[in-house]
Amino acid sequence: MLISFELKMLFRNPFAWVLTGLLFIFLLFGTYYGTQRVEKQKTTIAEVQTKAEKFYQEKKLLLDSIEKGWREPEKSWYKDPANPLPMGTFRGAGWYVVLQPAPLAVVSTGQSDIFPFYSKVAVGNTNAGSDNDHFENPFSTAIGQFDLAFVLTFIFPLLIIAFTYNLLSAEREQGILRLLLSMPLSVRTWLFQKLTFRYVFLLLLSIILLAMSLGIFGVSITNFSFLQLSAALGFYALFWFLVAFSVNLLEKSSAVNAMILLGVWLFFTLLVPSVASMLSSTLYPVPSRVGFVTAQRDAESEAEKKHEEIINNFYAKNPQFLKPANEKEQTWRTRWLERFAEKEYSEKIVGKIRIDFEEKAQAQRHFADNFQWFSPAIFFQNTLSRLAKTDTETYLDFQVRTAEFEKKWTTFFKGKFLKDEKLKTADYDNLPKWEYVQN
Amino acid sequence: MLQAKNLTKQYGDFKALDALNLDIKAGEIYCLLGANGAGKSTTINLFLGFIAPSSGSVSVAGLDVAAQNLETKKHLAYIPENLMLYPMLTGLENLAYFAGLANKKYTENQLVGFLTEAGLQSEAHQKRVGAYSKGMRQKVGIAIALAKDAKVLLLDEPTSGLDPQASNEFSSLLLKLKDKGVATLMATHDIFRAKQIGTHIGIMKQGNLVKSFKTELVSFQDLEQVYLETIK
Repeated sequence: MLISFELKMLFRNPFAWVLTGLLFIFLLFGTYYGTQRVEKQKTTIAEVQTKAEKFYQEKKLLLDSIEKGWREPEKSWYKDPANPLPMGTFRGAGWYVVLQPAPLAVVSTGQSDIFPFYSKVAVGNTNAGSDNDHFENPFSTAIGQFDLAFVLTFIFPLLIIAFTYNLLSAEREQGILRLLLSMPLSVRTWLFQKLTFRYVFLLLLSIILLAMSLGIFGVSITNFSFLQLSAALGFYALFWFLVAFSVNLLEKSSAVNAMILLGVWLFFTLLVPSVASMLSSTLYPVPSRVGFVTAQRDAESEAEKKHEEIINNFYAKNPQFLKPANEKEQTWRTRWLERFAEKEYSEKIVGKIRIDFEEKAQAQRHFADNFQWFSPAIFFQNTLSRLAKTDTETYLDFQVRTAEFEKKWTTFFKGKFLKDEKLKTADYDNLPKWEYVQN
Repeated sequence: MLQAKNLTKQYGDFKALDALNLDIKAGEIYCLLGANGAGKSTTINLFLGFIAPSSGSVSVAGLDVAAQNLETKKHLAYIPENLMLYPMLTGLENLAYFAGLANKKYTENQLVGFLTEAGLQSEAHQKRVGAYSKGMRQKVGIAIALAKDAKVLLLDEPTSGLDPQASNEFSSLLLKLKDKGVATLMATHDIFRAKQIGTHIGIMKQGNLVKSFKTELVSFQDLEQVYLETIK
């Protein structure tokens, strides 16, 4: 009974139409923004994958021609397709590890503007996957990015507030409340019914508009993630409706209700995240990225200074390699052996710094993550990032898998280099392959 | 139908209502006269359960208002001085809405019947209430009372601000309800209207019911004389 009249009142209210229109525009813009980002990601991935495949295809064909005697072998060692060192290390060599966007990646920018979605892995490149890593602000999530997560986390509650702030007060201010109070129905029950209807109505409307926005931009919604997204939206909306219910029960004027609800909105969407960010960076400071790079350079510089000591140690521990007696006896092979030895030395130092850096960053992230329990807005936004697979965990997992792949790649090429083995055509078919299925 | 026993309402040291005793039976229209602040609206609000008495008791249709507030509201209808309805809904929709809140289910024809009985012209039924005059809204209020099948009608200066014709029509409606056995308590300043439709008249002053009599026992001139002397 109440439902049909509530619907009529909403449909006849121009303000409701304006709000609905605005929501749809924001959703469309958020989807457009996300689609652009994801399309760019897909294009970049396709480009780098093609680039790597083309590189190794060309080298394979070249090697095949050489093996069949159709071509002269390459005179330069670094151009030789049979030489595992250049083919796995430099001059365009290396394989791209990529993080494909999830079906609902358009929903949330999440950490995608902080972490890289692809990296070029080559021999000795142990820093793959964290090239652009940056942990200065764990809450530099979608705030400021006009994506769907921003619309749903920050603007959607404002819409709920606009639809609910004066449910009881408007009746009082319009003079209808006394008539209502003379009915055999408690005001709380009446308000609860009205809010329940508006909750269901607004939620369904938002889900439909969201599905339409995604559909218009060709994003599939026939997946479990969209159901999860709808459920998350339902819980988030429920929180704001409960807040609105409580504020309406205070029986203040519409203006006071609006002020209180906007205050609550500011508290949960801006104040708590800001405090979380401030506290996490104060209590768990992370050395700056610049500091990390400087430390890395210092380690390399130290390795250069200790060149003789490192080289002597290397040859002492690896008697299978003969130390050149003088500079004239140096070949590209011995130079690279020594370079690897130096790199190994500096990597030990940098590795410790990196672990320290990452541990501190993780502590900061962990502290900041715990704040989500104090703010449904943070929790909801994190949930959207998880559904979009643009959350920190996804990128950290990608980094771990990248490091694993880098080891495989290095083992394959460096292993052959150390054993002084040549690459064969068949080896090009058995290069380490990047396969990544998201959890 | 409507009963008040030693009903008192006190705000701090101020007694808004002092030991009021009232018994209005079915088919009676009790008109409460008095100057502003005499306690008329306080009495109505106590019968509605909008405010709690400081002492004494108040009952509607034999039910204690304080103990069975929602139950008593099934039996009463209330029309305030300026009845406001949902401006986005038509008169018919407003009636259906409030009848629904009272758990009454009617067909559209029945609802139209109530509006017609309340004197609202048929062309107004489907118009949004935002375009209604005060008299038209009061008629929807009467229709709500009819739809609720109310045994008791509480009116707080319902004819205030109505033009004479609308006021007259409203009085006729109250008489119809009286004939149906509805007990009515009406707070008003309109002595003429009280004499015209009331079966009983009470005059209040400073929270006290200082005079109470049957309307048929006094002429209009006497009533005016008594009223003016009482509120002096």
